[in-house]
Amino acid sequence: MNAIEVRDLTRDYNGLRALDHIQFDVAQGEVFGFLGPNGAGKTTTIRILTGQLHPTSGAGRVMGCDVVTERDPLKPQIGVVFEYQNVYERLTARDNLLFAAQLYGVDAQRVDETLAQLGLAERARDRVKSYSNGMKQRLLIARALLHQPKVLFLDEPTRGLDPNVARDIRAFVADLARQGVTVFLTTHYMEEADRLCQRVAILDHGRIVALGAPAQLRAEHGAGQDVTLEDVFVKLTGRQFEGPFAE
Amino acid sequence: MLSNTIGRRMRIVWAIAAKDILDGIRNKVLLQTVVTVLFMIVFYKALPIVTGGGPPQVTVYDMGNSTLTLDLQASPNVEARRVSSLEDMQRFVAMGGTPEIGLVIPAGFDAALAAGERLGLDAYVQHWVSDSAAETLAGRVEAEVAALLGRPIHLNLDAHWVYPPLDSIGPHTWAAFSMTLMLVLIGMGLTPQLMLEEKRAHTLEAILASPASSGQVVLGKAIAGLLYCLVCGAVVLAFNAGMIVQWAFAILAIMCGSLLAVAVGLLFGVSIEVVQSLRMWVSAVIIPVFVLPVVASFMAMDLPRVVNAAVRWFPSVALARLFLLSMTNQAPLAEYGLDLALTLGTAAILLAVVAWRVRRSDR
Repeated sequence: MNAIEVRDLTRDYNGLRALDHIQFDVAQGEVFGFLGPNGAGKTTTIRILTGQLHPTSGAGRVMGCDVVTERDPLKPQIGVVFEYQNVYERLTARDNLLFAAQLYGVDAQRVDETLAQLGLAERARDRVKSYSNGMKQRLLIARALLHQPKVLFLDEPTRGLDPNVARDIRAFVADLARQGVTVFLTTHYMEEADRLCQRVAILDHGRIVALGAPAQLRAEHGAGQDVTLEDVFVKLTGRQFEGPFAE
Repeated sequence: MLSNTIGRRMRIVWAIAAKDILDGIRNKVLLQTVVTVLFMIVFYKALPIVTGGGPPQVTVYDMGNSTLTLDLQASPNVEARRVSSLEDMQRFVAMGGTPEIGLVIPAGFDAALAAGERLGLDAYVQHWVSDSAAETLAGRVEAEVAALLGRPIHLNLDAHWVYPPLDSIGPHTWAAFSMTLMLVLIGMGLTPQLMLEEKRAHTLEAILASPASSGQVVLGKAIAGLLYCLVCGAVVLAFNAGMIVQWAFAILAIMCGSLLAVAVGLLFGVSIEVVQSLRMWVSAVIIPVFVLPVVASFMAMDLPRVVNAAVRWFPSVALARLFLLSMTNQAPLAEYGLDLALTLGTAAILLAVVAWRVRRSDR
């Protein structure tokens, strides 16, 4: 069984098509990169696959659960790190995780273990508003992993972080994948996707314009040894501008 | 299996409510709302103390034509007015915002005075005046009457408490108005804030990605909002404790009012996206729907008949009447049945609309 199966998934917002019949599979234990420019439909896909949004048509299954009709068994199997640092700033890190633990029916001991695993144990009782961006991001990951999900959705997890923290997070994600956790990753950092992902899909205007291993995409769409995933991305999704930035 | 599912769902609802209660205690905006509303109540209660202090007010029902009435009206030490029946006297006394005395001068009082008989007068005071304050007030009036008559006299206060009639205006109407307004302000101010904070910080998405459903989120918020309303309601009831005659009705009114206010607040919370819009909508709704109808119904304003009839059907008026009923000793079932039905019915309809909107929010 694949961890994620998406068939003909379409989503319209007030007559505008955000996702246009996309389909792909993600194998269990795979790190899958979902790339695309802003507004391409990455977050909409995550919202549908995590049971927060109905698709207009098409189907999605995560760990065998239909994302529309089987949300109750689906949700305990997934963890989500959102593109925003959406934690309760007035609460302590521990209180944030205790709240999540209550939602998932996880005991308090697991909260302390997860805080320690993410290196937050020492400041667990500090209010989150005193945390740096990097610490908040680690707290978001801790929350997503608290209930030991089988599939982890990461929506731009390293955006705006300093290189050291970003590197730690990438190492952590790679480690999770080695433990068998399936990772669905969106990012604007092509190098990150190239390094972490076994396969990537490139999304543009709600459609998948390329799907495959990074090396395969470089080979298919590049014209030389030095072609990067970023070159492929720009080639497939780039716009023709007029004015001072036009090439 | 079923009990496990219910238990799990209730655990999630309680987790959301408990988080909001804990977070709310640290939320300056929420605390500011509560403190502002409570300050308004304290200010309203303190106003008579600040503005009072003049000579005692005496409402006289003179069954004969005693010279004492004229003497009292002429006296600078009391502010006396004469009424023509016992009911009028009780009504006037009940309308007083500060402690007042109602005095009954029996027919043949002057003849009894001339005959040197031992004299006593029945005196009345509002039911919410404490025993000691009533005795002090009666003592002042007793001394003035004795000075005017030139001989000692006893004012008999025994069980002569005046309860406000349902259709009268006085401190009880303003207490009912302030309690209604306070509940509505807390419910409409705090409950949507709980939703909007989650939307603003995008924490709602994290909750909805967890096993919590949107219905459980709303229920959790409703419980937190209800708790805030009930706590503030208890404080306001404590401030108005002296006015309450029927505590069961008062508690019932607080509970129904909290439910109504939270239902309105939740509707705002699920419909509005930003705090600025919330302020605009609360301002737009609170005056025409909650303040004006209640004031109009209490003041029996000279409005067209159809408007007066329509005002009676406002849930805010029904809620204010429930509070009013708790402050009188006249509350037959028929008087509050409709008000109860209107308040709870409106809350139920609003909660149903909220549930419907929430169910469709992922589409």
